[in-house]
Amino acid sequence: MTTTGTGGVLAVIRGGMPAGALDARRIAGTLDQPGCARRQILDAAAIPIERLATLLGCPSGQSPFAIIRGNVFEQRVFDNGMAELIALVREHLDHDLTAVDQVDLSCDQLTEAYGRADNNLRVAETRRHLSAMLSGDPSGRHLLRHPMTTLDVGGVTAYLEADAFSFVHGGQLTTVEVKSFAAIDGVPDPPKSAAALTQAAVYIASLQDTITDLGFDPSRVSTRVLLILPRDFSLTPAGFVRDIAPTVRRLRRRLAALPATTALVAALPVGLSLPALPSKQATEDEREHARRAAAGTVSAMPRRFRDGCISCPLFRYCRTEARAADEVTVIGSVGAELCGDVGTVAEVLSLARGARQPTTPAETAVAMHVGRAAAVAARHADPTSRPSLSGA
Amino acid sequence: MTSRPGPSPADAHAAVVDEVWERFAAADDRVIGVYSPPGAGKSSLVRTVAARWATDGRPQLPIVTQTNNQADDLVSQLSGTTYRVGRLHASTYKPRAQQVAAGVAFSETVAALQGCDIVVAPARKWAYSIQGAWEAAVIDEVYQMRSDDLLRVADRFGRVLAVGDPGQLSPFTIGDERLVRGRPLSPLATAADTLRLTHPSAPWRALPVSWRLPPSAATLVSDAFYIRPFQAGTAEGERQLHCPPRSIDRAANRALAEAARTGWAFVELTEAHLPRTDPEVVEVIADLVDTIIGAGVRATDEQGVTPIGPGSIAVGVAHRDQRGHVTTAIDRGLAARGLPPGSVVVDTANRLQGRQFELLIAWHPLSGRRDATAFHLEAGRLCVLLSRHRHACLVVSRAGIRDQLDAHPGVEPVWLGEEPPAVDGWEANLTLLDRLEEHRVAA
Amino acid sequence: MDPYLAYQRLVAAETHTAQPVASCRHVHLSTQPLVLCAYHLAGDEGAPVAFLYGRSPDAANLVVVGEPRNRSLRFRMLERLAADVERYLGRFWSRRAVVDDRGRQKYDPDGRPRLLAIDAPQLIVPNSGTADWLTTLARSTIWLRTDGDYPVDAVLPRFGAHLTHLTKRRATGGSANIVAATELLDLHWVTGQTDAEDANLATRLSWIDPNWLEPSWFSAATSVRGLDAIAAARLAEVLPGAGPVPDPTWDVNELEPAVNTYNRAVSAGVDPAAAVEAVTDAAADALAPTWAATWRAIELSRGLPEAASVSRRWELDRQAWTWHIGRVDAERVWFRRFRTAIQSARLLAQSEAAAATLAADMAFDDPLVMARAVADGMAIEGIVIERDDTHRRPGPSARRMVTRPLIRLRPHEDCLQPIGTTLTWSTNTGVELEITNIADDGVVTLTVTAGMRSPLPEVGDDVCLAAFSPPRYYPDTLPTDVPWTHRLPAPPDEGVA
Repeated sequence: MTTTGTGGVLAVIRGGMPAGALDARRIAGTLDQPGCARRQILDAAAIPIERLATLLGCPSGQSPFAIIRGNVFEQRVFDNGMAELIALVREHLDHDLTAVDQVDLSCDQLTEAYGRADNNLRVAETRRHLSAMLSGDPSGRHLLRHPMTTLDVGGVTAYLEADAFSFVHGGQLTTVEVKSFAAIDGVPDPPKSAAALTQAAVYIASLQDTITDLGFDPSRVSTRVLLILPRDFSLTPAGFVRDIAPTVRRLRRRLAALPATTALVAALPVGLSLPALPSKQATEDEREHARRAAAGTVSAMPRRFRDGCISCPLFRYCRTEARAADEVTVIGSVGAELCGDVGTVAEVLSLARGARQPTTPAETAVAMHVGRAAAVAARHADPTSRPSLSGA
Repeated sequence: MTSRPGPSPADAHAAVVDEVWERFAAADDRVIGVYSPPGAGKSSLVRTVAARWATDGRPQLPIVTQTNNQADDLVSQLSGTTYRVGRLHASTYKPRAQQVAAGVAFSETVAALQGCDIVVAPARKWAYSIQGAWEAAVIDEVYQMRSDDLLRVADRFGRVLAVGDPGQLSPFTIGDERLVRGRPLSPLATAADTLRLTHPSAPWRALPVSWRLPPSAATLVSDAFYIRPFQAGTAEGERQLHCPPRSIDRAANRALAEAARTGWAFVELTEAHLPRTDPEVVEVIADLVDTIIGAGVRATDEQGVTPIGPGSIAVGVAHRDQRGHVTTAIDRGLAARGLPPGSVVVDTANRLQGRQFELLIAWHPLSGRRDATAFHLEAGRLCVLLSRHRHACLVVSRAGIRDQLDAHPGVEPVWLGEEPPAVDGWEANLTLLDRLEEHRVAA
Repeated sequence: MDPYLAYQRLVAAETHTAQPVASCRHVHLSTQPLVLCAYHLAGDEGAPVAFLYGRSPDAANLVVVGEPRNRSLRFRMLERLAADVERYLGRFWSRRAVVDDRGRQKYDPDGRPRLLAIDAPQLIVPNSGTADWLTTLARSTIWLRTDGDYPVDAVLPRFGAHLTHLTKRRATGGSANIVAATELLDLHWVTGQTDAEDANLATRLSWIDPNWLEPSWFSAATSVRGLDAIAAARLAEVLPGAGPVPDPTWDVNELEPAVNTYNRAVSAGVDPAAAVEAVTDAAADALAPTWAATWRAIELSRGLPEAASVSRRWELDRQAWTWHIGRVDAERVWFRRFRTAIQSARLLAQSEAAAATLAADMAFDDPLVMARAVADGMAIEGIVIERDDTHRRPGPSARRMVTRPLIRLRPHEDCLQPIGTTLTWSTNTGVELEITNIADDGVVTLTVTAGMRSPLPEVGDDVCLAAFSPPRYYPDTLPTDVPWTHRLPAPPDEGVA
């Protein structure tokens, strides 16, 4: 199947759903669920996954308060001719930046300028500005906000809405990420820091690919990231620098290891398609009809249920399926690790209890390892057989 | 033997030792650091420094190790010389008879060891010796030492010579690490990193050569686990394993032949996911050990020819329960040969640190897993397992490691206030796998 | 995860019922705890929204703020919470003299008579997230000023100081001053769901007690009785979150409209006390199930007999509390904002000691906890088949023979510990035995190396021998001043990588 053919099939799968742009967070999320065809196909088809999840009965979304806070903080960083941003860049990156000339490539700005803001336009504008910035064009701006870059994910081009920024200095593109989780007493939350840096890595990888395509050396994208966070309980910005070259390398390997979306899609039943999202005025019946159609399509895509899925909007849906299939992963990845290849709870328990004889090495190991626990548990279930002193 | 450009390994090593000694003797630096790759003759450096110090007639020199075993090993190497060696120890410690016989002084108090030129003890014991102040001290295994262990002893010493291997396992805690991480001078940092932070202009030198690892291993270990490269002290061909030809074509024989030929073997079982006490891997390891013992292997090195027996082999694992199963299986084979149980060392990476053997069989930490975790990916663990041997290392694993690595999301928490680790465990694993696959033997 | 817990999880998944994994309660439960449920704004740990708290299930107090981003309103709400919490803490001010076995007063190193608080406070929160957030709440209140741009009542920094003490205790481990209901349940039962799902108090509780749900929380058509764990957990899943961060859908559907209502009303001149009603109602409805779940978790845990070492650990909490209130009385309460290297080392050492002690205590107190070690190979259980009190072997100096009783044991499972390992007898931890042989048929031979004069296992006894023991601790030897190796050349700058 050719790429255009895949594109066509993906459009059919998308069916009545609107197409969205992906962002670094979503792509990082897919790579957190390695091997999940379901996520990979839904992302390739640019399905708005949160709205699909809501339709399927797993409400999800972002808090409006978190969004507002993020916007307010970002505004603070960019206010007054970007005074705070420049100060942080000078302090943490040793760039003697004095003034920054920015261009904003967000939907709103482009619509104002051109009357439209589709993905192709945003990508084209981003490329145009990147070229100018990197070729030292005096008319080039210094800073790109809300650029749109592309990234090949499983053989399909993903359009990436970046919430990171790039500014050019000394011929290099440096990435800045502004997040609104706090650094209290100088220690930002470690899991959130990791997530922010992974998203930055996605953005850097796609930026490197874009400029390579434009004929520039990808090493002109620096792997040093400046992460800007609120300090303590105020909105005063604080900066943290990290070189994420290893993260970018890891990301590229994981991207390279993804199966071709073409192949995943080819394995699906023909004619799968998602319905349109029910409108606000839809009746109960219409909603239920849409839900059934969506469930049928999603369930036809193979899933890989793991602990990492908790961050995916479809978590409950896939979990319920896994439970119905009696998969061992319902008890969690750490527990499932102990069960090896033996796939269902019933099988593991029957091996552990000696009700069934093992036939493969995995079953033998499971029978031994979990069987020991079962024997100990059985002994302790009967109070009379607990450790005792004879004659007591 | 091929000739090498530049000074010979022995000369290069001696040059660093001389320079370190001169700086230490000159007393201009409060901190002198030495990077020591595995088997780099760190103990010979410490021995040389101690001997020269004592011969110079200087005041007593304390040596701080991290474990009792390390202290004992060092004392063995330092004893039987013209200077007096003392061993400070805790009340529960039993002095080794040979060391007593060799004239080493043992005491629970510093005062009783006043007449000694050198005093050796683990850090915990130095921490409990309240009295005493010394002008200078040697700290061994400074990358294994936790920053808070250094905190507890440092005020006794005016200046230090710190020696350690940056590729080894990092310190950890069973307590709540969130209390202390992410800030400068965290107690969980290595003592080495703390010294670098507080004394940024202190001189650090690298011992350039590993005397333990053969050339086949030195390049691989250096590339995968170290940012400062080192090379083997022996030349190609100086170390050899001679296996009498084996008639039966079994995987164990093929593995042994590959190990003898190249210094590495990667024994790969069919891919499967199963608990870490994988009985088939246990059997393969026990079979390998038995094959090696029964094959009449002889090892040639700079000193001559020695037969390889149970005492020359060790097995390295990642988990304690793996150790139990492997020991049981190996002991069965030993019993069948009339050899006593426990003749072959089987231990976890933690406890193998600092030890060396002619051959090492390593159970790959990622074997049989569906998903890699930070524990299993840790570079230090793999580095320890793969740098214990003088002749050959045989790695045993189920297939499928590459898939695990490719799929690993890598979302370990990041402490932005800390330096990122020098070596990324995930990349180290990948580099290692690339090289090991050249020596694959199907089980 | 150890194999025993994994196995029990599988059984839970199979039977749709939580499985008990402890036979006694390993956490002290106060007769007068303060339950506290809270929300703060998503993405902003410094902006609390509501607190629901009280000393009994029917006596809940609710404080909310109409606009959580308004500092003045925030501080007024926190002042009310702080006053109530201070009143609660004031119940634990009585101290008793500490005496020796002869009834004589003991003294502290500084010469003062030693006292011990008769009881200490216990805050019980729904989950670890809320417990962790209390550290942030303490941090955000302890440095507030009673003067300046945003002056607060002195009760707030005092509250911050109390909370800083209590959250520090929690950080060191084994403490019961602050307990999360999810952790309380986790110690004693396992469910058949993932760890991530277990973080949700409501679903976890549903596995243990499927009948805890109230019909009023759901639509009229929903039945909440006669459900199994899975069905109850599915219902519980859609309840509003237990905090400290609310569900995003609740924010969209309830909180944002209520806050907007408040803001509009106040700018139109409505009395703030009336304008806040929408937020109050939304918070009350959202936190009600969490409130009920926390109390139910306490009730279920109270049903277990208390483990033997719980009171010893609680006494450490009482000692620490005594120290704290002594400082409060003397107006000498002071906490540093940034810990020194020495303080960090001390804290880490305390945390490690607490973790090791707790793990060993739980196993030796409770056969079901010890069972996890047996399944993992870290302990063996078996029948004593032989005992020879006249057995002799070479002594430590290798010149004399000494008497060391010999014991042979037939273990129920294979012994995975190597020869030479020292084991501790679970019934009397003063008795230690060394493995000297493991026969082909599995029989383990051991010689007693410590505790020889105490009663030893008899032939026919079913005993448990552990490859770990209650840790012995020696006083720490931290220096009073930071040594030269730990002095930075320039002051540390926050935010530098």
